[in-house]
Amino acid sequence: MSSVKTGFSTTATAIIAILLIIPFLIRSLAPALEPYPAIVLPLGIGLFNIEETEIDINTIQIMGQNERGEWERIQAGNFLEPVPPYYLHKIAENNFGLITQNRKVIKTAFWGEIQVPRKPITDKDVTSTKHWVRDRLGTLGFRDSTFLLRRTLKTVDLKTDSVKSETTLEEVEFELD
Amino acid sequence: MNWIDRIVDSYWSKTAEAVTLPEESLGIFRWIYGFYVFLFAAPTFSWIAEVPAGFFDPPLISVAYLFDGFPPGWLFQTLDIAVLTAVFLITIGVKARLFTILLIVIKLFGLSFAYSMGKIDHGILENALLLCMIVGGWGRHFALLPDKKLDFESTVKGLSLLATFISFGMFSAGIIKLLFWVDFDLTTSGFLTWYYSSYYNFDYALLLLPYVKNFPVILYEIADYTAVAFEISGFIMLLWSRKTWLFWLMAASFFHLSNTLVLNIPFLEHVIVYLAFVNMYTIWSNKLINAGKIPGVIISVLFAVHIVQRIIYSGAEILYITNYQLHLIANVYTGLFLWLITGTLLLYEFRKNLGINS
Repeated sequence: MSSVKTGFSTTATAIIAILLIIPFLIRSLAPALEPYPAIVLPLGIGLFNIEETEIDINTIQIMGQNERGEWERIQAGNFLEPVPPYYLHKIAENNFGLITQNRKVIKTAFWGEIQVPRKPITDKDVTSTKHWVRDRLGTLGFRDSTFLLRRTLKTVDLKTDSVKSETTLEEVEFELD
Repeated sequence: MNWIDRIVDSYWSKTAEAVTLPEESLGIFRWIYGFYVFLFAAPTFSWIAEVPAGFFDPPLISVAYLFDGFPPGWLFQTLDIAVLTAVFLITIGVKARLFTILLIVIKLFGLSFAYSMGKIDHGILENALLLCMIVGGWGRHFALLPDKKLDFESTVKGLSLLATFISFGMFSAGIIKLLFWVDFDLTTSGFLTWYYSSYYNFDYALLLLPYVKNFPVILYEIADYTAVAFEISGFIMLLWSRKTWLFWLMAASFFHLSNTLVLNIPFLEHVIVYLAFVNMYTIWSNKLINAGKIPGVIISVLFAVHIVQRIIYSGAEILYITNYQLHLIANVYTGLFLWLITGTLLLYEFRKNLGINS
């Protein structure tokens, strides 16, 4: 069987190979620079220690102030809707678009952390995003002047499936006035 | 012919042997694609219009990076209607080639913005499939207005290209895992990182997900090696023979089925991609012909319901379910159902190639 009838020419094959390999290399060297579109599938290369009887899980929580002024957790899905809740980590890294910026820091395989340009978040973007968040908080029954991003380390006992401890690593309060 | 030409020629000849199907099969597959999209994978973009400007963080190398922000809402609403119309016309076979090109452009444009919040989802093979179907000429059979055959079109070429994309995509996921997961150390598990990520991050724990932590430790290690071996072996199985390629696709279906069961990650996008390699002509041709206008009427109704839903509300991807939590649960159970069917059809195709009549 000849490739003339069944396959692609050498030139076309070289183009296909380049279009496959270059995005793959970029993603391998710096996952945050993954192009779109690109034929690459999820990495997920972490390792878990089975000897441990407990597991540490980093969580991100969004907290709103109820009418009594107490902080109360807001479900990510409700806060972000219609954005998928599993986008939360990336959006939180981005400070919910509430701080002006035009560069971001990314991790690379060989060169540590580097700064790359990103689409600027302007004052106008911040204002409209604040407005969006205020609307959302109000709709969910929270005070619309502030919300809190809380990063915690949750330690779970694997035998009993219960939370042994929860440590707050960082809290960032966003003022929306 | 130099040595490079000979390698290229040999590669495509080998893949051709592994993927050859009658060209009518892609005509029937086109109908299956339409039903699949309308029932389980209807693209929606109008929700992007509601996302605040501050969330805009497109990949540095993407169409969306050419823009300064999310385009206006009316554009996404128009894309929603256009994408559904294109799928409908492709399914019934009206200028399928033209509308497949349009569908690719719309989907890649819309998805570029959907993935402009810092996170890229990996359903790319579903879109690569469309490109391969243009090359394969899926608009020529079982069509209302069949496409005329063009010089570049060939069923084998289209399927060879798709097989190459699938093998490469899987390789891209498996090769890095190989470095970390295959450590011959029973005290570490890569599988468990996926598991605990699902277990503690999802708001639901369905099917076998709650029970996995009680499995024997050796199973976690086996899961790591199996996943890596499966992901990096696509090219080998493709180039070996048609039987090994079909076996790999069948194994892939059961791999996704087990991921649905134990991780609640169905990865539905790959269902339709693997089904392209099943000889639909022998299974469905008589049934489709005998059904007369019934498939056309059903697909028209499915299309019309989507259009009405989008005009009234914002639309839904799976089974017309608009509630997000319900949508997530439907996604898992749909995965269970579709992977069972896909695996069974590929098992049938594999056994047929072994010369075993089921």
